[in-house]
Amino acid sequence: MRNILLLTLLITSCYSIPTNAQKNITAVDIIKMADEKVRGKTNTSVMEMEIIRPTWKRSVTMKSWGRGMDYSMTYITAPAKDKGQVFMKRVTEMWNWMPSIGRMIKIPASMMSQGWMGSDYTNDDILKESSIVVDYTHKISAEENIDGHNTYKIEMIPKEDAAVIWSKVYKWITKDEFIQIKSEYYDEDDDLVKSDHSYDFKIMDGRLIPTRIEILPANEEGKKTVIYIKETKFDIDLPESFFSQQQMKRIR
Amino acid sequence: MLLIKIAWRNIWRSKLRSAVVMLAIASGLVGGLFSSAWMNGMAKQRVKDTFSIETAHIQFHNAEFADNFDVKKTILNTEEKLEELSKTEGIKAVTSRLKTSAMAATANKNMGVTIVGILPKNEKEVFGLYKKLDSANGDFFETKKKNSIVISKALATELKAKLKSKIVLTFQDYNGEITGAAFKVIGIFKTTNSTWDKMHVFVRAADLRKVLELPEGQSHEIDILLDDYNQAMIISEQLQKRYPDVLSEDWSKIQPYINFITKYMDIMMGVFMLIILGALGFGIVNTMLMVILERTRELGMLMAIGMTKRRVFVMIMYETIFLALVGALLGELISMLLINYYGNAGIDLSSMAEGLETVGYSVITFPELEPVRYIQITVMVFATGILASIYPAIKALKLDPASAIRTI
Amino acid sequence: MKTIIKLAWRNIWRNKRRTLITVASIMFALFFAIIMRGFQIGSYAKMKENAIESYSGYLQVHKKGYWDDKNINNVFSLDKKTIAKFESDSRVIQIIPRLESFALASSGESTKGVAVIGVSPEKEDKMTKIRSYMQEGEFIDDDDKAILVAADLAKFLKIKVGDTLVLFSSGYHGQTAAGLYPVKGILKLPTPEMNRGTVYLPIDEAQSFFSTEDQLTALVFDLHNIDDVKGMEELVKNSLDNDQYEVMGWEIMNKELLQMIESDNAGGVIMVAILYMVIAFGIFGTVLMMTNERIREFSVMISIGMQKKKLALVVVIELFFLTILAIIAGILISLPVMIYYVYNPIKFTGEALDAMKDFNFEPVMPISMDPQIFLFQAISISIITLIAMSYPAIKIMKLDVVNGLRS
Repeated sequence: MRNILLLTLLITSCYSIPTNAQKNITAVDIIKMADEKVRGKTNTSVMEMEIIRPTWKRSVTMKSWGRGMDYSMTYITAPAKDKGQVFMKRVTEMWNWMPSIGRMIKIPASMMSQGWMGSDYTNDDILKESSIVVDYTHKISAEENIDGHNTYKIEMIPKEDAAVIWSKVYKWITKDEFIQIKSEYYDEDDDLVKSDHSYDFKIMDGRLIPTRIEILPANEEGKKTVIYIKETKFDIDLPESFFSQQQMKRIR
Repeated sequence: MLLIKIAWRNIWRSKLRSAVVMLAIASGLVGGLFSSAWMNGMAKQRVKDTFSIETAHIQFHNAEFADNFDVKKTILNTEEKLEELSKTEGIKAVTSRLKTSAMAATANKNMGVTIVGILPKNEKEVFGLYKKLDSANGDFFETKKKNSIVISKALATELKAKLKSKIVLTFQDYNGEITGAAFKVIGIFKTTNSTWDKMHVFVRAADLRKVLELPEGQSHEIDILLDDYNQAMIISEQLQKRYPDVLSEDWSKIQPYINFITKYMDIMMGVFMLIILGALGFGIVNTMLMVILERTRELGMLMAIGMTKRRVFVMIMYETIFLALVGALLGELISMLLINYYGNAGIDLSSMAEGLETVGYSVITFPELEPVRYIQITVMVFATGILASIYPAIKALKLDPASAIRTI
Repeated sequence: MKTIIKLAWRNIWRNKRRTLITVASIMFALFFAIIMRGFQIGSYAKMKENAIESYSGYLQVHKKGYWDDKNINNVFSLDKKTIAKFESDSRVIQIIPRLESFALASSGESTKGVAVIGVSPEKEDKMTKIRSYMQEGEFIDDDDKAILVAADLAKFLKIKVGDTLVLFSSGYHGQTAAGLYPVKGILKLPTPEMNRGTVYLPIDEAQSFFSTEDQLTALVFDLHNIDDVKGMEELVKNSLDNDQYEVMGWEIMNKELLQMIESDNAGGVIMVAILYMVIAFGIFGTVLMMTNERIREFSVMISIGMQKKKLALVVVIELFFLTILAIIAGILISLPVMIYYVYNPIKFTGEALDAMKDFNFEPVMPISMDPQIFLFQAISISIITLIAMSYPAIKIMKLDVVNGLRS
């Protein structure tokens, strides 16, 4: 008799475990999953970046290869003056190959806060992509509806010693597909300094991902950077050795 | 001797005239000496501030460190050197520092700065920056917290930071890699040189060493405070011989500008005093001529009863010198009182604060004059007196006693 | 009234010696004041001139907003006709173009952030004498694809004439700016800061590097005379669209220098004031004694019937004449001295010389002959004598004639 009761209890609790597991998903897990969604273990893409300013506009197209958060390579395909340039990140170093002058340049600390190719996405942002997981403590602070999607609002507070300039970051990530829809970056006075927003979800190489991302500096009229993802493939064979200076010079 | 007595009494015979001349000389001297003291005080302050904030008296660097702050160009065996130096005669205090250039960033802005990694205890013995924080603006590494930073008010305003704000420093480490760390503002300082202020931030050497991955025993700078800063050049040369692996420089080589300013001030003051004495000299000549004119009868009488022309000349010269000296003494006394008073109380130039502070001058200055100057001035006045007496004395000699007596 | 004036004039010449002595004291006072002020103002003028001619020029035109936000996107162009119109103005020596921004300069292992100044070589040299800074190699031409490097920068990057320098930056509208340039020459620039981080390119090459096409960051005006700046500024402002362009005089661009000069000037004014104090005593003394000497004479005049008021007036007018004579004489003797120092300025020696050369200051102490100096000093002296005049006037009005006759 007791054995049957015990068994029933065991069986019913097995069924409840999945739902508990669902409730116990942590904020940092959500962040990791959202990031893995658009990155995979490795990825390769074709992208176009539009830099918009009050008085002018510029478009740059590129091919890129990435492995996790620590390795990436980007080859500029247009416009003509910039074509052939290659950028590479290896963990903590960033390099730039300029075929027009035949020089390999290592990006120095003084250029870190400058926008990459003149955009609103800084060299520092590129270098510190892994920072969103490592440098913050995460918390699910709310659930909100953004653009018709149910999202988790994740509140990220930087750790004491973390070398990040933000005092607070919010990210909205969809509950069903774990797509990051929106981010907001705040300074220590709780003023919004920057935000980004994702749109145009499409299926590419089997995953639903945003194909248009807008980066907006706050309080600056008419200034933004828009990134269009034209095509992308995930989990291709891309060893760590691919990300080398020799490869930078060979890549097309 | 008698002549001197006569000359002295003659002066006091016409009290008003003598008083006027003496007051003129006195006022000229007060003006000259006080402004000299003031300018001197300003220059001295600038020099002392430079020692206390920027240069100390002697600095060691790796010969190739220069102004571009190559992280790898270090001084080796820093600890041993500090030990030896602290036992050396003539040296009051020593400290060592790490230095590198970096970008300092907050969410709002980023600026290029120089990071100075210090040893808090030693640093306070050599440099006076810690005095430039007021208690409302934190402290200079009293706290034991890791990764604390002290920045200037000027920089804080630029970056929109305050006490307890986080500043991210990004720089190149010992291995050439880009690295960075977050620091918390624990103190805000303000010196009289806003340009210097914006450029410098201070952290613990230990914290910086860790992030830079700089090996132990190496540093970028050794700073030395002497008992007497005038010995800096000599001692620096001696130290250079003792430590051929570093470059030893005294303050005048590190900031030649300061030396220049001091010398320039000296020249200016010298010229100014000369001009004042020149003006006074003419005034004295003028007065004595009047005197001669007025005393034509008396002088004629003196010569008629047998006073030699030479004696008349000398008498007039004595009179002139006495006038000059009494005026000078009066002037110097008043000057000393004024300089002493303001030397302690200070002169407040707040209205011109902005312009002065950009160039690094203090807003409150303390006049100061070396005692030797007073002696110099007295001698110069004496000389002026003698020179000034010549023309009137000659004029006196040309008087014809006979017609002089008859003058009304 | 005419009689009084005649009387005053004759009185002066009655006692030549006394007159001469009094005039002399005022004259020398004026002389010293003029000379001292001349030297003070002379050095300011020199400093301003240095700053203007070595870099900022008298006037600059920029794209509106450039001065507060000096980035490569704030460039502009002006049509040739407008520029020619400005250049044809008689006040203008020439108008020189500049394209300035920052870049990373690298050679071998070393990299440094530098200021890149794109210039029109001959034009630039005409105003800033940049050719005289050359230490090694040759000066650049308009169509060179070569670069000039500042001396300390060359030392840091370990490059010499003939080596290649890589320049790398962000150009117009974010376009990458990258180029290789052979080092044609090395030059020692006037300030230590400039010497550590400046390179010069011919402007066409700079425009190509930054992809700005024919746009500039500044048009720099070289004028004949510093006094023409305001007028020229007006003209240019009225000829251009003020929403698109900004026009700046040298004063805005050299704010710190001006503040420094101001504070130094304040000190200088105080020194002159002190000098005047000394002078004032001298003049008062002279007037005092002169008056007392003539007590008997005054008493006689009054006792034979002259009104005290009229006598006082006579004496005052005498002093007035003396002042005028003294001022004229003072200016006359200052002139040759000042002219001498204009052509033979005092030269600094020793340490002062070295220090000044480091800052590329000409090691001389110049003197200024600005007419304002003369005017100002003359007025100041007049005020002093005016005050001095009150003594004899009062003395006369209060004169006890009986005792006066007996003195």
